[in-house]
Amino acid sequence: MPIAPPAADIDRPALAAGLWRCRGCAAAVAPPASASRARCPRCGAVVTPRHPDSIARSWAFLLAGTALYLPANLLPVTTTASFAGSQSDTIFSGIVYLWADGSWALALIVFIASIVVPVSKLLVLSWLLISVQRRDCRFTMARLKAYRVLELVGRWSMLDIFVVAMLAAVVQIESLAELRPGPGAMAFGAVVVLTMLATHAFDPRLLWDCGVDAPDGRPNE
Amino acid sequence: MSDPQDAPPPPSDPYAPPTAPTGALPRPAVARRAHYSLWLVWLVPLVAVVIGLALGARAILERGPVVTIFFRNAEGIEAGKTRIKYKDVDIGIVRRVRLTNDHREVEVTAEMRGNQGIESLMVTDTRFWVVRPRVGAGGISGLGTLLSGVYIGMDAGRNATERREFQGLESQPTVTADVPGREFVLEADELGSLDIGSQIFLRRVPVGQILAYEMTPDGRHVRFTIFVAAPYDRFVNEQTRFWHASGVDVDLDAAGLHIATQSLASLVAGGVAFQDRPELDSTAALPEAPERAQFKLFEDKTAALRQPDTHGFDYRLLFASSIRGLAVGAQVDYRGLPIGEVTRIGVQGPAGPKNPEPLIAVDVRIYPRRLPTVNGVLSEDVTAADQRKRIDPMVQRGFRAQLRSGNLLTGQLYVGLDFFPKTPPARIDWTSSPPTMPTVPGSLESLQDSLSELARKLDKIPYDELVADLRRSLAGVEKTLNHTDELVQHLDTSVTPEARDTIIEARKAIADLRRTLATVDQSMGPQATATLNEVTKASQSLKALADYLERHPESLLKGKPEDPK
Repeated sequence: MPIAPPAADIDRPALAAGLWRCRGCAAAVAPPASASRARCPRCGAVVTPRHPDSIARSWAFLLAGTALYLPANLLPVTTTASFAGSQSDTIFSGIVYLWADGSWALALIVFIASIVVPVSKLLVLSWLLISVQRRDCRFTMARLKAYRVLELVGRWSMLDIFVVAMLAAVVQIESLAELRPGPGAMAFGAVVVLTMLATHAFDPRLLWDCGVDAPDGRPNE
Repeated sequence: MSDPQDAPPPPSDPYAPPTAPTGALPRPAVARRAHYSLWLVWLVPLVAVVIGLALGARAILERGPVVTIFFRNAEGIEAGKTRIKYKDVDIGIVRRVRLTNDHREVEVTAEMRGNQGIESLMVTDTRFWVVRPRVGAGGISGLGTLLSGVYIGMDAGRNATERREFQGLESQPTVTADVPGREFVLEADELGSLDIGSQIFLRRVPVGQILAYEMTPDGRHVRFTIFVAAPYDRFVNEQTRFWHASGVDVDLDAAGLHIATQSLASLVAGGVAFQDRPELDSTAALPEAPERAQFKLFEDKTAALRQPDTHGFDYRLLFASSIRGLAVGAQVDYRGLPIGEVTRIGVQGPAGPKNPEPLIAVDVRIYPRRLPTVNGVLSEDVTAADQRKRIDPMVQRGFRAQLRSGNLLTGQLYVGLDFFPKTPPARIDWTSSPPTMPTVPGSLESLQDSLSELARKLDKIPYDELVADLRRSLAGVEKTLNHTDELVQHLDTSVTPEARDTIIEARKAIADLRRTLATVDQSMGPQATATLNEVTKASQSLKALADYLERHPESLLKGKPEDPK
């Protein structure tokens, strides 16, 4: 963090000063006041004051992820078939199995990666989006940190999917034991990807737009 | 794109005063707004919702009917683990196991899958049972459950009425509804050694099993439900005979000892055999018996394959002798060919002044059609009149019934029909009911008669007197013998010593004599010889004289006449 200049200024977004930033080469540009899109004079990329339709897209992905979250947890992730019979496991039943089996550490990891992280992603992103839409200026820094954590851990939720994919590839002993991914695994993978997309679509700069009338024109769409 | 957020925009100082003139910064060209519709993004949640709903709907649809099965115990059944299988296809899972409210049974709640129309399998005659490893007479089954744990087997019924509560079977049904074949009903007098699962044999090929048995409502018969698997079920027609083939049939009858068995398995578990009657070889066109057709289960093969007992004629036989050894059901045969059986044995009427010596009445039923004919023509006695027309001339020729000994060892009797041409003429008494057929004493009976005749003659011999005489004679002989004995003893003691002395004396005398004679011989030999010659001449003369005297005795008086000259 650079040494902070006077707070009153630092919280003021550059947009308010008519400055845009090129996403391609990070050049700061000053488009004409009437423009809503510009072309970067340095790299030629399209420059917009904020990610276009950031909130709407983020909401869309977030809602899609939420919609798939229920089947991801209720449907079996794996179906294990062996000569001793077949068994379907949901994420939670797998955790319960691991816990009952005594592998508490493993159970905890799976629990965090497969339940805590996706749920917190959904909740935190909803919080960010709502607060931005309500132009709430409180906890701006906390929200920013939450957003960074969100970006960082997002991909780790794919742990489950990796495990299932690997096992499904490895455990294919004909007629003796077989492991197949269930419908829950697909839903779960979709949840993870969708929340990542939602996180990506969210423009954290919006967090500072609370106090100003953004020239973006439609932050509240 | 990489995160653009962390890096501060390099070309200008972001912390520059907000009033910084924008002219210092590069002025981008204004871009045209892309043809971009925001609503496209909303397709994503829409699709996600649709997918989510579809997955959820599938999960809900797969949730099939919930059934409750009651078992006597829940050995090996685990909630959430135990499967319900039909034809070894997983169709459901046990969700809950608990005791019923009265604590008598176990209530197993199972959830079926919904995507295969399983509702239509949950009908009133669907059966559930717990599949466990089982070792029986028929083999070993359910070995897989040793590793996987038990599962609940199911056999779908054929009814249309759906049902959700079932009573679980205690053991696996031997025949499931999906095996093609037909069920039949057999009625027997006794259960015998049969049991559920006993096999059905056709020419010793196992073709089915006994599914169930029950007592008839009146308690007089046992009714079996049997299953004959396809394609053998088409061999069951209305003329098919079923009989007990249980274990070893040891049969001791008038014909001797029979031992028969079907297979080793039937030795243990019992069995039922069936077959067409052999004489109906050309009856392939007989209609197949319908499902659940009813048959009689005969005691043994002989009884089963007997000619159908149609057109039987009753006759009464009167015997004056003992019928010990004759039983109801005993055979009636014609020169060795079975033709009927004894139906009733009794006494003819109550004893009274009119009937001082009641005869034994033996009722027999004769089935002329039982007689096998070599030229293929069955006797066609349909009515009693036909029978009368046929049998009257036979009786006139000496056709009679006779009690015969079937088995000397056991003393069993049977009724033999034969011709006895030398018997006094008799007729069938058609006025009585049933008609009375004349009889002749049995072979054993006549043997007994002659034996008793002999005994009677032997009886007449005066054994007592004979014995007394004999005894007297014997006493006399004894006395004589005693006397002889005494005499001999007397001789022994008194006579013998003297006799010895006498003999010694005699020997001495003989020796003396011999000496004397020798002396005489030496001294008087020649003289003696001359003397003897003289004597010989003299004796010749004497002889001549004697002859002459014999011829002329008068010469003694008159003297010898002069020789005629």
